[in-house]
Amino acid sequence: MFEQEIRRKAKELLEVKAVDLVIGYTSGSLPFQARPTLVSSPEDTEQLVWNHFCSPNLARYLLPYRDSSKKIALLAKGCDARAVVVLLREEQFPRERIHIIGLPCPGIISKRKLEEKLGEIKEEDFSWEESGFLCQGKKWEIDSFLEDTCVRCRYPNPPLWDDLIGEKRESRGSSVDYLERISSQSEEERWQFFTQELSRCIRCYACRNACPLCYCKECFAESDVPRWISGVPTLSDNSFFHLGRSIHLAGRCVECGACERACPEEIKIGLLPLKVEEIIKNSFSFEAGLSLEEEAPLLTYKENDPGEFIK
Amino acid sequence: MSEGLIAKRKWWEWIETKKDRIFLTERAKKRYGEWFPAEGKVVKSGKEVLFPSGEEMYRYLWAGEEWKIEEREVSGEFSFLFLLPCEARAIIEVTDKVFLHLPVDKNYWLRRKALSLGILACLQPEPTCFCSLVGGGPFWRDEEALFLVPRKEDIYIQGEGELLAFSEEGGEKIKEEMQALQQEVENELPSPLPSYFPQELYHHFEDEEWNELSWRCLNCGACTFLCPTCYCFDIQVKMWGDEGYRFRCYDSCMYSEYTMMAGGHNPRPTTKEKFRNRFLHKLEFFYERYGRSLCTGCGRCIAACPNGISIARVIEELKEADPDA
Amino acid sequence: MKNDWEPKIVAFLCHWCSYAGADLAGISRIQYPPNIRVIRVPCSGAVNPLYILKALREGADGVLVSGCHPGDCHYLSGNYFARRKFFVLHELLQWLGIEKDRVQFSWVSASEGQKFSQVVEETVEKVKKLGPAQKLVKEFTFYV
Repeated sequence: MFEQEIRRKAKELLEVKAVDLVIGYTSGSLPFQARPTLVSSPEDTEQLVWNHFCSPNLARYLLPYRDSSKKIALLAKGCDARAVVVLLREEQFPRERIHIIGLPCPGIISKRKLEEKLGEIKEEDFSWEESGFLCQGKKWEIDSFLEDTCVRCRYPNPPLWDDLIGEKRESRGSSVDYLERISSQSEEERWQFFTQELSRCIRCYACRNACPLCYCKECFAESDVPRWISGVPTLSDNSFFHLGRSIHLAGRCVECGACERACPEEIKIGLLPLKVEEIIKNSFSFEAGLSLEEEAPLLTYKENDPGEFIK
Repeated sequence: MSEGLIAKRKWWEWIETKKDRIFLTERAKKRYGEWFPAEGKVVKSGKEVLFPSGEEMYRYLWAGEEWKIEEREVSGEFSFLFLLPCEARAIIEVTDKVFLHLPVDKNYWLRRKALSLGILACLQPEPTCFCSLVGGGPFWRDEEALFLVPRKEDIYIQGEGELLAFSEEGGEKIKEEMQALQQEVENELPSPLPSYFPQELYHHFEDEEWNELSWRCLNCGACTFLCPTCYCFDIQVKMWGDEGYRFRCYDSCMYSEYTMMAGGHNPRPTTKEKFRNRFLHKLEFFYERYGRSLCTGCGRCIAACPNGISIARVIEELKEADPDA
Repeated sequence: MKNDWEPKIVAFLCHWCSYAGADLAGISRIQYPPNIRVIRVPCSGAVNPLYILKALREGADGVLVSGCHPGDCHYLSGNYFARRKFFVLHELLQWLGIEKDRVQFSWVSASEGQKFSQVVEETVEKVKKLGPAQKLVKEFTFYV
């Protein structure tokens, strides 16, 4: 999966001092996991990996360097690069200090789905194959193990890149995705579903902190004056937090699903921002993170915007 | 202290009489679910029972002339909590020490004295487990609590209380069997940290290592909220006009608000300081005060971390950085 | 019991139009239900969706947001921006299964005292039909 090419590229960039740092993935502390890593010397580039478990959105790691003078190379899947586009458009980072190594994304495998379907797997019993993997002596296609957000992904290729490693991929974009499934239920069923999901939330804010676009210095959830929500994870406060967050991401969410994958309680928390994006796409024909010239949909208006709901 | 064996059927009979007065941790349920049919309330860890994520402390009301204060009564109904050794250690060796140390936390005490612990031996450590590294073990037990080893058709029990009346004498043979079983499970786990390790850490406060270790941390509270020993809380108030209530809820050292001072100064401004504090509190600061580690090696934080940070690995790397260890 | 229940409705009125409209209704002695609690805001565009959620969370049974007619905004375009924000919020609430009729929006100008009273009447009627708010409302007791 182009791992060698990525290492070579990172090494080359560091050697010629085109960049000071490379942000990429390395193997995790558990099997079937990859975690973000920071590489600053050419020798260390050997630790970089690129596989179906590279789940975190690395654009999240850019902002700590906003006020430094470091030039950064970032490994970016389709959604990571879209997040970078939004950050650039929102003037959170200078374009000249970032070097995007674009990676057309083959989709991220959900560890939860792996365990659900195959039980507990040992690392020794697992090996990659063309378009799938071998496990417990059988060959499996990766499609049925993909993360829910990857199943509906329409932009596996980065919209913006300085180097592109690997071949461009066709969009998966299945229309029968989990958002569609929930939307087809009745209002009451949906409320039941969200009550169940949101009451499990422990409000650790992993979703918010894993999100590349949740970069407010002070989040409304932790603000003291005014205090919007209390620190107790009750259903009402949890709903308030997730509603508030998804509205705050309106027109900005790049549908990467990093929030959902970060959730330690495995709550389908990505659904809310995804729904907001769907509303915005249908009503204002806008999708975030595709172009640097785009105008954020909530920072503009048209005279003929939908207004029937207003008396 | 006595010991014996309880047949499965008899055990189930006893469970049946207790019904909704049984708490069971998620892990205990996962491992030994068949021993606890239906009713029991499943909790994340003992912390959820003794020190819930939100708890009202008192209400207040302006009664025309003066403030009226109404304290919150904790019912503390007698119940049983079945849990694994790491989770039991979190209560007996950590939260008990913290909350029952003077001044005693009243709510915690009322709940704690009404709670009887049943420690279930851990027969299949998970890949994230490292209890033996920090002084525990899969067969860790305490005099005050029941100790249980579920087997195929019966359950080995050690301790005191009403349950023992259901048991039959196991004899010398069972003692040997238990010892062999313990040996077998313990062999799979790492050996304990050297006893001087916590003191050594003291010299590593300024290490460059922390930058690298903490870099990928998101500063979310997943590890602290799920940790069975993390006990930090915040006290907040809710008020409408002239009535309201004061309550406490979990707080996490991963949040900026945790150390934020009046006037806006924050002594732990970046990820590095917060991260360092969390690990040094677990391994050193708590040790200095109470003579034991604040981590019981359950590995929950390793499984929960969205970015694959592992406390076991942090310990390894700190050990490597120390030439004497 | 249910017949005695009167909903509490928080109304965010823009200073330049709807608040003046409410004033006019008062001066003209036009009757409208006393269920609303008015909060004056500079512009409907200044109403953060969080205000609406917060009102519901603190126990309001309904929320009314009212501003100038499109094109009449004192700040030229505040209400156009507001319209987009409210549209997204409204759709999202409905999708989540939180009754969207609890949150009402209207355009009322300074000269429309009559319309203001109608808007309030309609809002109260709709909220009454839904009954006391239960979703999103803060749970006052935690388990002990």
